Amino acid sequence: MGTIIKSSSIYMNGSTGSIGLAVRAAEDCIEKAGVDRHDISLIIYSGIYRDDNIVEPAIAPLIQKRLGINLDPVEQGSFDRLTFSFDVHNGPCGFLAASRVAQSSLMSGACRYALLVSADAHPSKRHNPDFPFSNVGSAVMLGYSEEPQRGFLEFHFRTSGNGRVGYVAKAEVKRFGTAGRECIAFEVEHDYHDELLEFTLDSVREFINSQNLDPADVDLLLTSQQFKSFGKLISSSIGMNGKSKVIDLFDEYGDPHTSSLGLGYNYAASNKLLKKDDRILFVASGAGLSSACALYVA
Amino acid sequence: MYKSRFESMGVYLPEKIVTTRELIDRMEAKPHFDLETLTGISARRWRSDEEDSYTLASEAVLRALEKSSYVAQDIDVIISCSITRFKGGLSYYMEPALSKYIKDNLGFRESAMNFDMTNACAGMLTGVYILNNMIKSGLVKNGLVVSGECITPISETALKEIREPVDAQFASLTVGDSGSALIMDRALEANDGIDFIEFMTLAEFAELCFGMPSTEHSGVAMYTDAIAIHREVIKRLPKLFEYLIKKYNVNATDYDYIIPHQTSARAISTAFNMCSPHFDGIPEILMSLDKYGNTSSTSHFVVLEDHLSGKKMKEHARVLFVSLASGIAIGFISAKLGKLEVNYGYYN
Repeated sequence: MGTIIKSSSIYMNGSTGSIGLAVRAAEDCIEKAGVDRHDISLIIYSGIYRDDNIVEPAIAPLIQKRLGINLDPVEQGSFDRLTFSFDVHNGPCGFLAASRVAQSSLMSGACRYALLVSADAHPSKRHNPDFPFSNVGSAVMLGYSEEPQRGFLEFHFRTSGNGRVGYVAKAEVKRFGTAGRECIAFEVEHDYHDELLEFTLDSVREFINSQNLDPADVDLLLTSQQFKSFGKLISSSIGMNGKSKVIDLFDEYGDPHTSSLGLGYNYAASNKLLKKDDRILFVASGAGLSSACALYVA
Repeated sequence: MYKSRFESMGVYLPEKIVTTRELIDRMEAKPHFDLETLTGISARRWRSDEEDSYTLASEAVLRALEKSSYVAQDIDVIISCSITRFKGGLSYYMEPALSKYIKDNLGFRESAMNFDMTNACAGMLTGVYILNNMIKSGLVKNGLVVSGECITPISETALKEIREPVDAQFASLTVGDSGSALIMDRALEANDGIDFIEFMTLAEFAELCFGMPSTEHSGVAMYTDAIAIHREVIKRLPKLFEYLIKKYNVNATDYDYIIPHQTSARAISTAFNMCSPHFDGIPEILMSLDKYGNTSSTSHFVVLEDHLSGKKMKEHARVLFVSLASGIAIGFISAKLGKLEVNYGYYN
């Protein structure tokens, strides 16, 4: 059984908080998938920067509520369709971590459709010039295919063990005083981008070697977008050939952080850059240093 | 399809004990009710100045590894599930994931998958749900679910901010700090390990409890509409037990113990008394509220460790873990304890 992407969507509007962005993307994604929303058994939210720096409840139940999905089965008098919601956090790698989690739920029969949602926006819900990420909400609907060799095939996760973390983002509860709902502190190591590129390349090479994958056989590369040409540099460094495509959207969208892969996939799907049997290489990396790769057959 | 089991568990509780009486003494506006009698909480553990979510989690992981047949390098996936992600004092980490720091410092493989996961007080049981599916489907052989819950900062805020006899921050006075870690792997026998996991989010009530920074003082706060939770959510529990009977063909006689989320002794007994006719009775309910309070996402395992280590449990026990957390995340995990009983010297 394969785990496949049934639909995807993005939503961008600088004046909306992260929950609003995520809900708008999710609504469109559900409509595109053509599935009854009450058949969604799992909602996983993987955004990092959240409205008011809320830590409880998870954001996913707040999204479930706004989407009106199986809100109160007891009152409805039926337990035939239930939805379970929670958050996964791992920066730009969170989308692939959530995909892996959803895949295991689909494979073990605990799930029919899984809705992966993500967004990042400044916790103040207002534009902040120091916030380094684009305000993007993204949603991807996962379902299963009877064909085992379709959809997500293999995943690869890795972190660096050298003590360098690249950057740290935190809510300094004491220091922010009464403005805790509106602040985040970023600490970026001076050579973060160089180190991230090198670490990501090592991870990608390790993954493609472990899969005996010829880079020339990759039809499409989707990556996180920490800086200009990050995707293109990965593509050229690992030896993808001229017929392979790389979706590098930094010039148009900046860094959509946890929505990078959702945005990239949605761009490719919307612009008819994907055809059946295409092999897609998903690559994300970020603070930690952390990386995640996955091979997907369309 | 494989079956998963609990292979090892580690719990860490900070040394410092803070009594309910001490907390009440520190309040300017005293409650009109007896908090200790109402909740059954006499004391809770409190972090030292050097402790935070990360150190509490790390201590628990070391204890779980000590009793495990695995070493850190064997573990395939590390899931950190705490609500609080404080490291280096009261710095709440958004990135990198706390699981990455745990992984680095305790010698896990760089190639092990790691991520943080949050689902309010259902955190660890949601981690068990995730890891169970990963093991069942064969994607991993084993994994670690951990939570270092440094939750008493919300009590500090509540002490400063509670002004009314009925205040949204009263529940914040019930919590205690702790770390819990659980290693899971494939069950070796059909009658061991996790029988089933059922989880759902009653999102209609997602907005009844919020944790976030305070706007009155520096610090984090939790605002709970306890009356609405009791009115709306608790009354739905009997129907959920009826659903379990129907779907899994189980009732009270199949279980030796129920471990509920630890909120307040009175609320727990009221809720389960209501459920009893719908589940053909209620097995013995385990609580450690008096000593440890509500340790949020770790609560089920703090209770389990307390009872296992005190040799208070029967051998070959089957336990029903019941989650009730903000979201509202309702969950049931049915499991035989198997190897955990061996770890605590019940038999070989």
